[in-house]
Order: sequence, then structure tokens, then C-alpha cells
Amino acid sequence: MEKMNKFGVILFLLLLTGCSPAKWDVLNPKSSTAESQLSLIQLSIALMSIVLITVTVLFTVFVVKYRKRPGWETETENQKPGDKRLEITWTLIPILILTILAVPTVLDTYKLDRETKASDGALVVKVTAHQFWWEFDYPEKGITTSETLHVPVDKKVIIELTSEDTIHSFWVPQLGGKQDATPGRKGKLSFVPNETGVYRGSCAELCGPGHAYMRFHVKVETESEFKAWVDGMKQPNKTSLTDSETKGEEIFKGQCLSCHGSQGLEPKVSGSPAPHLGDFASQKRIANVLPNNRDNLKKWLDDPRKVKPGAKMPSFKTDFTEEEKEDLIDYLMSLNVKEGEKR
Amino acid sequence: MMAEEKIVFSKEFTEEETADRVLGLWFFIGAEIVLFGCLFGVYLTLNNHTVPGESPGELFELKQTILATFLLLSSSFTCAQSFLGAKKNHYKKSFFFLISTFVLGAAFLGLEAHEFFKYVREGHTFTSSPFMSSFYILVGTHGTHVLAGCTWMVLLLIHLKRERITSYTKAKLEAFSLYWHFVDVVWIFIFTVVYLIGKAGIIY
Amino acid sequence: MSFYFFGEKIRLVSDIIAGYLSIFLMGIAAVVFLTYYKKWGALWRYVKTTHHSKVGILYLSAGFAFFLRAGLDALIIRAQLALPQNEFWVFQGDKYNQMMTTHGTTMIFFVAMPLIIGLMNVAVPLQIGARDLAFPFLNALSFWLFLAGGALINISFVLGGSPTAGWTSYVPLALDEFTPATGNDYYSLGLQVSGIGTLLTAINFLVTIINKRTPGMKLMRMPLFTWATLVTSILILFAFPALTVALLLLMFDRLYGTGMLAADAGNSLIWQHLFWIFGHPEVYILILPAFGIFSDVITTFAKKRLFGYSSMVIALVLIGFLGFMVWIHHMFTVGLGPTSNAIFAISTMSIAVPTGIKIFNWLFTIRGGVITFNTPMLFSLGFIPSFVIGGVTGVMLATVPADYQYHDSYFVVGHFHYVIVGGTILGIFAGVYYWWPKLFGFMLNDVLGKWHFWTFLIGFHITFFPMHIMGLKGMPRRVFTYLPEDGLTGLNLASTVGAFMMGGSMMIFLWNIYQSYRHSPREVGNDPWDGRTIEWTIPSPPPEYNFARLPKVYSSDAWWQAKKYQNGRLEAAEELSPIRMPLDTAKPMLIGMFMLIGSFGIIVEVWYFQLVGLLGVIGLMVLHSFQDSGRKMVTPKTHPDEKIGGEE
Ligand code: HEA
Ligand code: HEA
Ligand code: HEC
Ligand code: CUA
Ligand SMILES: [Cu+2]
Repeated sequence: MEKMNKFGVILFLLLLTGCSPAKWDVLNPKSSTAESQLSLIQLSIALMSIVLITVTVLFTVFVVKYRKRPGWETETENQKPGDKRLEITWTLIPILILTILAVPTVLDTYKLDRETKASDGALVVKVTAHQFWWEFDYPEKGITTSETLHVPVDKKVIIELTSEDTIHSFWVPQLGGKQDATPGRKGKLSFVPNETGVYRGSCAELCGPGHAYMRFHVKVETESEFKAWVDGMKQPNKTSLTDSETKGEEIFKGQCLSCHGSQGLEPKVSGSPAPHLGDFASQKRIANVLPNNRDNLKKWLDDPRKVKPGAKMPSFKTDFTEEEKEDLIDYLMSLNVKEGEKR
Repeated sequence: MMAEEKIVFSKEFTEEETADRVLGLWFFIGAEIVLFGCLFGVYLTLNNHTVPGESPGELFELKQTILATFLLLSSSFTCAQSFLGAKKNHYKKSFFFLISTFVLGAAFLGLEAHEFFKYVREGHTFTSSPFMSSFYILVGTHGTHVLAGCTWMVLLLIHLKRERITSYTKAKLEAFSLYWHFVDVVWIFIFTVVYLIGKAGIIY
Repeated sequence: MSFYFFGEKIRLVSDIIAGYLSIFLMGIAAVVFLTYYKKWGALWRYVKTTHHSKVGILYLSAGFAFFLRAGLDALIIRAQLALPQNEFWVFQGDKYNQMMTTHGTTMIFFVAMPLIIGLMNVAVPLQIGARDLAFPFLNALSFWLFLAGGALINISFVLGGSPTAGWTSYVPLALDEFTPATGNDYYSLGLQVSGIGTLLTAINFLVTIINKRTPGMKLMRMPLFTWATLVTSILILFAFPALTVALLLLMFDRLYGTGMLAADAGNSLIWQHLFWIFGHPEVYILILPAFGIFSDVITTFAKKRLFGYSSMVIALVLIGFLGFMVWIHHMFTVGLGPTSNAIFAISTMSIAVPTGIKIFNWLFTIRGGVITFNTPMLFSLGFIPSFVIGGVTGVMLATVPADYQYHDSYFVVGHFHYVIVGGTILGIFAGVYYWWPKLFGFMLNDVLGKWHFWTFLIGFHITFFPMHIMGLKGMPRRVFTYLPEDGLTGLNLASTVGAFMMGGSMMIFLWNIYQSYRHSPREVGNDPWDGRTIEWTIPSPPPEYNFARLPKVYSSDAWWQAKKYQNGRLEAAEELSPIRMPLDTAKPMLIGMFMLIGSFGIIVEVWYFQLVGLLGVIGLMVLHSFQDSGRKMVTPKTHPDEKIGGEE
């Protein structure tokens, strides 16, 4: 009975989600690291299935066979206190199974650690977690971005993690498992992405009210696309702004530059108190919450904390006239690094 | 099914009740060992989180601490004597040595309070650095134990005075002496780990 | 609208108003009920009691009340998560974190712990032939301290907000720099107070089991539930002080301006280490007693001796022992280095071996038995496959590189609900149905019990199985929402449906209690289940001294042996003689109350509350020191149902 239940549940779920395990992020790796983690997961699922099936089969057989049926005695003469051989069997077999699992576990643990240490020409990205957004620093390239981490395909990336406030955790399921970003400590993670595409990432350690929306993306692109993006980030993408965009830029310089950087503009305060907006218009969502369009941007400027609980940006509801707002939004919407189509 | 009930205040403990108390206290000490173990761990971790101008080596004054150690060790001795006296139904001896224990314990507390005041006067307060905080917590928790022991002794003295030596007071005295010896042992560790090693600067 | 309460600004919004309203209505309902049924006297007797089975009932009722509260939180969580970017009531952002934290904290500390301790109180003295625990006064005190702690955590919601940093309360998030509201102060004080109570309980059970066994009840003849209690108590004894220290540091950092746990000045990892040095043994504290209950229930309803008694005991001890050396498996992603990760991975995996021994011993206890499917047995049977799922996912979590993927994802949430709900909670229900007739003298309805079981089990799997998949699809835990494009909608909706099914199931249980109270036949006799251990030799409910004469025991399963070979009577170990019983007293309750006042004073930083609390506690303890020799001499009478000594 028990078993039927479980099968029913699994079936029901598969129907409901209408998707196959092949699409589940963790089971669909796009990097060396995630692949080696997946093989360990597969091995453990296989071994654990053996255990689970053994137990379920024994359980079902025993429960069905020895259920009290009409005409049975209420007492059984079988009061066997134990059986040495059986007990040794079910001590040794699990030990064996666990050994099979433990050996690759230990080897992979060391392997992954070695990989974070061997730099061999890897791209190093310094990642700083903030309540509730990610800052990506490319020290060798001299650029900073947020929201979308760009990396070239087939090249090793080393992520160096730290945090400005609480503990966060960097997780991109398809590119590899997580590592904590602890203030005052340095965490390291590395992977070699092997397919271009955009992958979802999130913060995996409770860090405050906005934790749920502390997301980001990793864009794996070809070497040349990556180069183009880096170059695009280094200089203003437009030689000429429209009228309203220029007005918007002025407002931005006055009100926003104290925290935010933008194309060709460095924030006035050091230590990046807010996301770099240089590539803002290419983002799908504003602060990972609302779809990126003008109406929502207005909502964001009016009351960021209503959109994203705990967001550390002040409200600008009363600071601007409608017109100024439109100009500012025009400017923000023009902030797009030229490198082909939008995501 | 109503059973007959009678309320008594016997001022005697059965052997079983005595054994329960002593065993219970042993387990309590087991938990206390973990407690102090963790506090030592915290202290040793935060030991080098100092602010300029303070380090275990500069701060601690060994002379006074040695005196405190001497006081507490003697109190352990007098406490044992007091329990021995009770065991031999020797009321006067027991009472006298318990009072001595109390005096020694109180003197120890006095010295500790003096030490703490000195540090505070020098500006090394509870909040001045994680090192100081962990120091005050570790040593202060021990001090609180001594204080609790002293309060307990006051009660014991009253009991002893009123009931003399009975199975009841003996049980209480036995439990207390266990506790007191334990508090003493903890101090030896504090003395070694915090003061001696701190002074020698090994950890630092 | 907002007002000030001891310096705390309290904003009245709809959920807080609902909170006040429900407190108010429940208060009125309680007063009306007590007055109408003239139960004030009975309540007062319970308040003053120090007797183990009454304290047990107090623990069970309080634990169950908290279960409803924390279950309600779970339903709120599930309602908020049912759909992507859902806005259920106010439970987004910080409010969600309040619910999630209260749910986890309450479930672990104020539901699972007290229900288990309640069952221990009810059953352990009866199983070893003791008249009470070694320290009845301390026992009552433990309960009231636990209740004071639970009250603190629960009132925080309406007095400035519940704690928000998760049940693990990681620093620096939990420090006042990032969570200035008082919520986390309630956490540190509430757990501290109830933790003292738990520690005292552990000492009490240790001494009871070691010193108070009836003649002939050797250690290796004790029922498995008693064994589990013994091992659990040792775990509590060595684990809780670590939590005490951690909470002490948290309290000083939050309230008195020290910086020990702060990231810059101090060291944040201290908290994680101390918390998990406590936290991992804690989860075995939750499961081992359940293992004990299953052993007793399965032997009773399979009508068979426990298969491999001594290996069962050894496994318990091994699990307890190993439980202290695996805590780093909660910190694999902190970056402590491959060597420590690898060592702790192996030690974690090794726990599967003793647990496996237990699972197979239960299976082979069933084999060759005559199984009847009464409600307690159903819960025990439902446990086996459910728990094994949770156990094997635990082993999967222990593989370090894979845990980099699982950690802090819904996979972990799936794992621990499978072991906790599928292990501890099913065990608690099995125990409640099993010992209910002994405790109250009437049975819970078996048909309703089966409904309860099946709806609970099915709801349980529907709720928690999808969580593993959510984890693999990249859903982190402790998020109040997710995006439509995450592809998590179907799974979350299924999970929510399951949760409400479990809610319905709990309603059946409540209905069952009411129905059985009204209609179940009384006079169940001493042995309604045809049991095997000595608690079934005495009347139900037992007289306050339990055993008029203590029985003499010659084997494990002594009562079953007696029924089979000694025409159903156990030898008496003593003559009828007056028994020293503890006095009733309200002091434990008062100490609990003063602790509550004092702790509240610390939280709201009002010195005269602190002073009143401190003086009250010390004063009562001094008073007790002069009254602790008071005893009631009770002359026992034998009862027709009692099967000890003589011939019928
Ligand atoms: C009742 C509570 C309970 C129990 C019994 C367990 C049991 C186990 N747990 Fe679990 N665990 C929790 C409660 C519990 N856990 C909680 C609450 C958390 C989350 C805390 C938080 O972060 O909030 C957690 C988290 C947790 C983690 C951290 C995950 C993370 O955050 O990244 C890990 C990692 O190793 C783990 C492992 C295990 C293992 C190996 C067992 C083993 O004891 C399981 C052993 C049992 C079996 C394996 C099944 C039976 C055995 C056989 C049939 C024999 C054959 C088996 C094999 C050969 C495999 N648990
Ligand atoms: C004993 C432990 C225990 C138990 C029994 C449960 C039971 C349940 N838990 Fe869990 N849970 C935890 C311990 C437990 N939990 C812990 C430790 C966490 C981690 C917290 C953290 O991350 O810090 C957690 C986290 C947790 C989460 C993840 C939150 C997050 O990460 O964001 C979820 C989500 O679905 C969840 C759901 C549930 C559900 C649906 C139940 C159901 O089984 C509940 C079933 C019970 C009921 C539904 C009660 C019925 C009551 C009513 C119907 C109300 C009637 C009211 C009156 C009469 C007044 N729990
Ligand atoms: C006090 C500092 C501060 C100022 C001033 C400020 N912001 Fe922000 N802003 C932030 C922070 C912090 C975030 C990140 C919020 C989050 O995601 O949690 C942010 C996020 C944003 C985002 C969303 C970014 C993303 O990744 O999607 C936009 C757009 C934005 N700000 C625009 C503005 C504009 C326009 C102004 C000026 C009118 C401004 N900000 C002024 C701190 C500030
Ligand atoms: Cu950052 Cu969660
Ligand atoms: Cu654990």
C-alpha cells in the first residue's frame, strides 16, 4: 500500500510539472565542476536506490506475508532473539556501499579544491556580495558590473568571494555548487563553462528580507563576444545622447552617482554602495524583481523597498517632477553595452 | 481506590535520595565541563582579537592571581575537611571548616572583583575588544559559580546550625563539596590557560 | 497605527491585530471553558503537580498547542509559496522570515522536544518500575522553564516582531547591526530559558534510569524506549551547554555592545561551530526516542521479541557517540578546507551503518510475526520507508562536492522534513496512540486514528517529496518567493496542497480526541494492547505511586514472559508499605514566571523587571531549600487490575 502511494505521488508530480529530470538545473550541468558534481550525485542516487529498494521490498513482503489473517494464532512461537550472520551481513554491506561512495567523495573534494588554487591562466573575478545584490569585479580588466556576470566559454574562471555585510552564498546550479561569501573571509570557487548561454544564479544563504530576490545571471559567451563586452564596458556606448537622455544623465550625476556607477561614470563613493548600472538596459528584470520596462522602473524609483523588501536604496518619489523622471528613465534605458542583441 | 496520605517533613533523606542527589550532581558537572570547554574555546579563538594597548601579557598581574589560586585551593581543602567532619558526625569540625571555606571563597571573589575593577579603571572594559569580552565571560562565569557556591554555603550553614548533622545535611554537604571541588578544578585551568600562558605569551 | 510598549514601537497591522485577537479569543474561550465545566480546580492541581505522568501530560498538551501554532506558520509559508511572486497577506520579506524562523524554532524546540520529553515522562518510570522521577520538583521546574521559553518566542510576534534569522540564527545577520528589531533577542533569551529546563530534564532522566530501576531490571533488560531515553539524555547533557554558550555570546553582542561574533572585530564562525556542535546532536536527540518508541510498538503489534536486542542498544549508543563528530557537515560550503570536509563526510556517512542495523532489525522483528494494524502500528510501519528516504538523502548530503549543490536548497528542506516528520513526528503519534489508554484509561478511536494516519502520511509525501526536485531545480531555501520562469510553480503548488492535507489530518486527530473523550468505553483494564513491558501490569490510569508493590523482573519483555509462563503475574519485590511521595507545589511555576519576567526585562531593557525576576527566582530557590524534605507518606492499596505479586 505504502509503495503504491509513493509511485502515485511521483507520477502525479511528473504529470504536474510536465518536465523531465534532464531539464533540472543541477542535473543539466554546463561546466566541468557541475559535471563532476553530477557524476557524484548520480552515483549516490544509484547506490541509495539499491538501499531504498531493498528496504521497501523486504518491508512490503514482510508486512503482507505476516499480517494477521483470520484463523491465525494471536501469538507466534517464533521468538528468535536475533541472528548473528544476518546482523553481520547488514553491517558489512552498508559499509561496502558507503566505501564505494566515500572514495570518489574524498577524491573530488580534493580535486575541486586544487582547481580553485591552480590559476593556470584563469579569469579571476572578485565577487562581493551585498544586501541584496552582487558586485562582479574584473581586476585584470578594470571593469565592474552587477546582475550579470560575463565569462568566456571553455576558459577556467576562478571566483573569489567575499561579503560586505552578512553571509551570502554564491550558487549557479548549472555551473557548479555553492560557496559562502563570508565577511572577512575569502571563499573560492572555480569552473570551466563548456556551453554558451545564460544561467541563473542566486544567493543561497539567508541574508535578510531581500534574500529571495538576491539573484544574478551568468552569461557564458564566446571569446570574441566577451572581448566586445569588456571593451563596451570601458567606454560610453553612445557618442551622442538624445536631449532627454542628456538631461537624464545630469540628474543621474546629481542624485544617483553618489552610489551608482554608470557608463563612463564612476561612483563618487568608494566601496561600491550600489550596483553598477552600466549595462542596466540589457537586464531582464529590475533588481531581479520586476520586468525591466519604463512603468516598473518608475515604481522602483518611487519606492524600492515596496518592490524588493529590504532594498538599501532610498525612495525618490518626491524628488523629481514627472518630466525629470521621464528623462532619467530615458537615460537609464539607454545604458546598454553594444554587443549585439538584448538578452 | 483512595489511598491514605500523610504529609511529613522528616528532615531525613533516605540513602536512595542521597545517592540520587550525588549522581545528579555528577551529571550536572558533566554538562558544566562542556560549558567551560566551549568558553575556553571561545577565549582561545578571540584571544588575539585585541585593540592596541592590551595583550594578555601586559594586562595580567600574576602575583594577585597566584594569591587567588592559593585561596581557592585552600578552600577546596577546608571543604573536604568539612565533609569529612560531617561523615564522622563531627558537627563542630564540619561547621568550622564550612565557614572557613566560605571565607576563603568570599576572599577569592573579593580579589577577582578587585582585578576586574582595576582593568575597568585602566580602560579595559567588557566591550573594549572581543578579547576582553571573552576574558570577562570566561573568568566571570567561573566567578559566578563561586558566587553561587558562596550563596549555597550560606544556606548550608543555616541548615547545619538548625539540624546539625543528619542524613539530610550530609547529603547536601556531599553534593556541595563535589560542586566546590569542580569549581576549583576549573580555576586551575583558567589560571594555566588564561594567566600563565597569557603571561608567557605562548598563545599570543 | 502604532504605539510604544517598553520603548518598543509596535505597529498595528492586520496580522498583528489578528495575533492579538486570537490571543484574546483563546483566552476568553479558556476562561469560559474552565468556568463552565468547573475545571479551575483541576487546572490548579496540574499547575502544582510534580508527578511524572501529570508533568508528562502538561508537556504533551503544551507541545501540541505549539504544534498547532507552528503548523499554522507552516501553512502560511506554504500559502505564500504556492504561486510565483505571490503576495499572501503580509508574509513577504521580513514577515516571511519571521514565520519561517518561528516555524523552525518552535517545531524543533517547542514541539518535537516537549512532545518527546512528555512521552518520556509518561512512560519511562512505568517501564523501569519507578514511582516517579528521581527529582520530581526539578521535573516540574523543567516544564515551567520550557513553557516560559516557549512563551517568550511566541509573544514576540505581537510585541515588535518575531526573530528573523532562521532557526540557526547565523551571525552577523542575527546581530543588532543587521536585525535591530527585538526578534532575535527573544530567540536568544527564549532558547536559553527553555534550554536550562531541557538540561535539568536530562539529568533527571539519567539519575532515574540509573538509580531507580526495580529489582532485576538490569540495563540490558530495559525496554528500548528507556534505552533511547538514556542515550538521548546523555546527548542533551553534552550538547545543550554548547548552545548555552552560543546564546550567551549572541545576547552579549546584541544587548551589551560586545563584538565577539561580529565579522570585523570578532569571529563569526564561532557561532556556526558552537551552534552545530549543539545542532547536530540535537537532531539525534529528536530521532532516538522515536526509534525507541518504534521498537516497543513494533514488538507489541508484531507479537514478537525484538530482533537483535543488544545490537539495537549498541546502535543507539553508536549513533549518539558519532553524532558528536559530524557537525561540520552543515558547514561544507564555508570553506574550511578539503581535509576537514573529507573527514567529516566520512564520519557522517558512517552513521548510516548503525541506523541501518536498526532498520533491518525492525524488519526482521516483523518477519515471522503476527501483525495487527492498530493505529500505533500503522504509524510505526509508515515510518520505516519514509524515514529511509530521508536517511539516504542524508547520506547524499554528506558527499561533499554534491553538497555544494544541495546545501541551503530545498533538497535539504526535503531531507530534514523526511527524517523529522517521517521519523520524530510519526514516532510521537505512535507513542501518543500507544500510551494514551495507559495515561487516561480509555482508547483513542481506531477508525479515526487510521484516517488520521493515512491522510497524514499521504499529505506528508505530497508536501515534502517535491522539495527534493525543487532543490535540484535550483530553489534556495528561506526564500519568500520565486519567479514564474523558474519552473517551480507546479511543484510548489503540489507541496502546498499536501501541507493543507496535513492540516486537515490534524483536524481529524483533534476530532478523534474529542470523540474518544466523549464516547470511548472506559475500563480498558491494565493491558489493552496485549503488551510486553511492565507498564502494562498496572491499572490504567495508574495510581499516583504507580506500583503498589514494585515488581521483580527476570528478563526483558518481562510482562510478556509472565503472561506466557507465570500465569499472568509478576513477582512482587516488596511488601505493601507506606511510600514517600513528593509534595505538590506551585514553586516551579512561580520560578518559571519570574524567569519569564526577568528575561522579558532583559529584552526590553527595563531594569526593575530584571530585578524582580532575579529576586523572585533566587527567593523561591532559597525557600525551596528549606522545604525540600517535605514528603507525603502514602499507603498503597492493591488494585484488581494490577498484576504484581500473589495469586488472583
Ligand atoms: C531527526 C532529524 C535528523 C536525522 C535523523 C538526520 C539524519 C541524517 N542527516 Fe540530517 N539534517 C537534519 C535532521 C536530521 N538528519 C536537519 C534538521 C538538517 C538541516 C539543518 C538546517 O540547516 O536547518 C539536516 C541537515 C543535514 C546535512 C547538511 C545539509 C546541508 O545543509 O548542506 C547533512 C549533510 O551531511 C545531513 C546528513 C544526515 C545523515 C547522513 C543522516 C543519517 O543519520 C541518516 C542515516 C539513515 C539512513 C542512511 C537510512 C537507513 C539505513 C539503511 C537502510 C542502511 C543502508 C544505508 C546505506 C548504505 C546508505 N543532514
Ligand atoms: C519538528 C520539526 C518540523 C515539523 C514537524 C515541520 C512541519 C512542517 N514544515 Fe517545516 N521546518 C522545520 C521543522 C519542522 N517542520 C525547520 C527546522 C525548518 C527550517 C527553518 C529555517 O530555515 O530556519 C523548517 C522549514 C520549513 C519550510 C521551508 C521554509 C523556507 O526555507 O523558506 C517549509 C516550506 O514548505 C516547511 C513546511 C512544513 C510543513 C508544511 C509542515 C507540516 O508537516 C506541518 C503540519 C501541521 C499542521 C498543518 C498543523 C495543523 C494546524 C492547523 C490546521 C491549525 C489549526 C489552528 C488552531 C486550531 C488554532 N518547513
Ligand atoms: C544610497 C544609495 C543609492 C542611491 C542614492 C541610489 N541608489 Fe539605486 N540602488 C541602490 C542599491 C543599494 C541598489 C540595489 C538594491 C538591491 O537590488 O537590493 C540599487 C538599485 C538600483 C536599480 C536596480 C539595479 C538592478 O540591478 O536591477 C536601479 C535601476 C537604480 N538603483 C537606479 C537608481 C537611480 C536612477 C538613482 C537616482 C535617482 C539611484 N538609483 C540612487 C542604492 C542607491
Ligand atoms: Cu544574500 Cu541571501
Ligand atoms: Cu547534521
